[in-house]
Amino acid sequence: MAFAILCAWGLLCPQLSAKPGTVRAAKNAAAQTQSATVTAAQPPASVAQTAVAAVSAAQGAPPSAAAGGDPIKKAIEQKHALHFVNDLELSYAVVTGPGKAASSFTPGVTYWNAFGVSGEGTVGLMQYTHSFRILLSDDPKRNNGTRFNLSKAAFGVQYKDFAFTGGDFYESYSQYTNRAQLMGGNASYAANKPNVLQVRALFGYAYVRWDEMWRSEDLKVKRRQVSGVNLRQAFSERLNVGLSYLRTDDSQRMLAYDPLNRNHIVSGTYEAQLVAQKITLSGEAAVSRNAENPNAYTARENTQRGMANRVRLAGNFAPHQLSAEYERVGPEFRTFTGAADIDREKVNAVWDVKTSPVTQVTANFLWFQNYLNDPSKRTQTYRPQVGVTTQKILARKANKISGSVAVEQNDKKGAGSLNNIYANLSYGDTLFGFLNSTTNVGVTQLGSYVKKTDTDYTLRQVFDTAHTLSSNLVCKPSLNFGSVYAEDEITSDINKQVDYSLGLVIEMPKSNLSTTFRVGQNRFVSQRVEDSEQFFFNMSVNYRPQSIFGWRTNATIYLRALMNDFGFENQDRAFRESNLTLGVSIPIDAAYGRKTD
Amino acid sequence: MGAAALLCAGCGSVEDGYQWVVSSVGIDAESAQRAQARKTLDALVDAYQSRNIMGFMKWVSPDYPFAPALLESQLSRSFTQYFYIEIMYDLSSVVPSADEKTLSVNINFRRKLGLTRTGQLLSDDGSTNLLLQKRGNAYVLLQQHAPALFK
Repeated sequence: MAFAILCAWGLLCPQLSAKPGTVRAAKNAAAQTQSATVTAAQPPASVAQTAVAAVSAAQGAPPSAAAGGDPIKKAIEQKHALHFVNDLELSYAVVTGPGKAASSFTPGVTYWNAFGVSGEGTVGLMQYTHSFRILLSDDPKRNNGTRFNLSKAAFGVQYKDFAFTGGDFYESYSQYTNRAQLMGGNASYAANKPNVLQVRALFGYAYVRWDEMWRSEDLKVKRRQVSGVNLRQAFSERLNVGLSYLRTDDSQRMLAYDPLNRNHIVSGTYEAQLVAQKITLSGEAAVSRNAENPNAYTARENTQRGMANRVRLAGNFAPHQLSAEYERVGPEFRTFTGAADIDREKVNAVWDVKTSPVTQVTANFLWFQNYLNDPSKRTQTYRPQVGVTTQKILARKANKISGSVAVEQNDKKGAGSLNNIYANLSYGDTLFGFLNSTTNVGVTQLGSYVKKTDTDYTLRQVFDTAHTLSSNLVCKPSLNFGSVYAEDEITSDINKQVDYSLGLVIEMPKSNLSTTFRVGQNRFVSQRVEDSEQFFFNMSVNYRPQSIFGWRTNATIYLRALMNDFGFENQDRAFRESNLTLGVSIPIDAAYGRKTD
Repeated sequence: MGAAALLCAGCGSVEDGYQWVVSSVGIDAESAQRAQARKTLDALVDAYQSRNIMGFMKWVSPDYPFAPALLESQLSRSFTQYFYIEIMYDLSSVVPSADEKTLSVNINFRRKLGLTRTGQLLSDDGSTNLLLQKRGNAYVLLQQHAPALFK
């Protein structure tokens, strides 16, 4: 759809297309900076990246100002802006074999199209934003069984200190009240102003997809109405407090034994810098009252009244970072849009210290228990953990080693205690000056209340390198090997899993072309259940054209092919899935404004 | 329809110095947020499929409920319970908080997990929501809503 718009614009409006101007907007400039920052901060990519992930990364890679910059030359004082993006994929999948029901692909030709339009602008003293996105697909596995999905609809207006968002929004008053995306309306006053009473109010439904609203019976989604208000006041730079009230009301049960709840939560939050920039005390205390109707066969309501509180003390004494947290969530406390583990009490302490410019030590101690009102059923867990990260060991410039060990002891009333041990080691180095090596080793020892201990091992070894063959050709071969040796603690069977793959990335930076190949095998051998093996091949080609019909663009065109062949001892479960996908992603920006020069 | 209106309004109309300008560079805040969400999800999926627990936990927020240490224990056990892990996802929408410190990310996923205890290969698809929290220049996993993508 966006491609058609681009072509039509180029053909019908030669005078505008021949005179590009520069769109300048504070928010988009920030996005530009943000995009450049994201590009620069890209984490070390695993060479074991699948073709799908490579395509996703290519699709999502932000426009780089360094790669030619914005082609529009004239600056304008932007009044309104619209942004379109269209991602279209055509796929052809072949799935064969008696076990083909386990395939992730829908056989035949399918399409997947995501079209989004968003924008922002100014009308007098009012600023507005909007964002809409729809998904169209005839693949039932990619669009929740529907051909049309309104995945996002939101608009926002700001007038002086007042702001309102309608449609999809995310607002979190506190951890215990709400940490869920809602659909409805969210209003605020003075939200970003310091030392002024900030007021927020929300009303909405706890759906994350719009089709949950009109397909609630098909999707078996309960209707949950949410409303709340929040007051927040910063008394100084070092003290701020908040008070929240949140109510959730359930209706439209889907199944007869679906409980319906009416819940009220009042919560207070605080954050105080006891010593400026050094010691911070923060926390939250909440009370809830919930009326639960357990099923459709009774009008009776069970009432639960509970409390939850948490307090955290953090210290920043460079190079030491310390924090200690205590939390208690009562067995009768209820929250349906917040985050709380019911009937738990915990203490969590963390100490981070940089002992040298290249060495960091982290120690963590976690204790928690459950069944706070019934000691006869209680389990207490102690989990100390120590981790070390250091570099440049033995005068090697490029090596890095990280290790951690955690011991988890569970003491259960009437059953005794068991210990689990988790140990991990990661070593990275550059061998012979050009070959990157990363080794990850893990040992997991799982105990049991009957004093039986099982030890499992994991190993991952990756070799990769990069060779620049010319100014427009870079090759990055890789070798990936992994293994798991696991003993089933219940059946005492030995299970072994091995996977290995060869990868090759070919980049042509001047041509904006990159190609990824990966081929490998995964084998599973068991003493008790049937063995299996999988052979796979992935390929992806990504191309970013410099321009389309004379227009500078950040569009992406990609082709990817995938083949997975699953074999089992029982041939009735074997299947092969092959998929070929052609995709294109095109963004279009339009801005309306007045020339500044 | 809106695009057609845009075309009609823009063609050859320059009044009082106001004009439409069009580009295809795609620089806007929403695209940047989707790109950041995708980078984080790709890193998490890659580490999970590679059974790299240390690499995975680098992308988890210290505020992950109940405690990140428990997620680490749970995933360490899961890695030896699956002989095959495959996750594919499509980004459905990204909804930021007002201060953009949190992203609510909705995805559709397709997943295959091979269970070592039974030898079965389980395949499922669905949609889920994850919260990402801004830490430095990147977003990290703050919370998973049901159904959990990483379990």
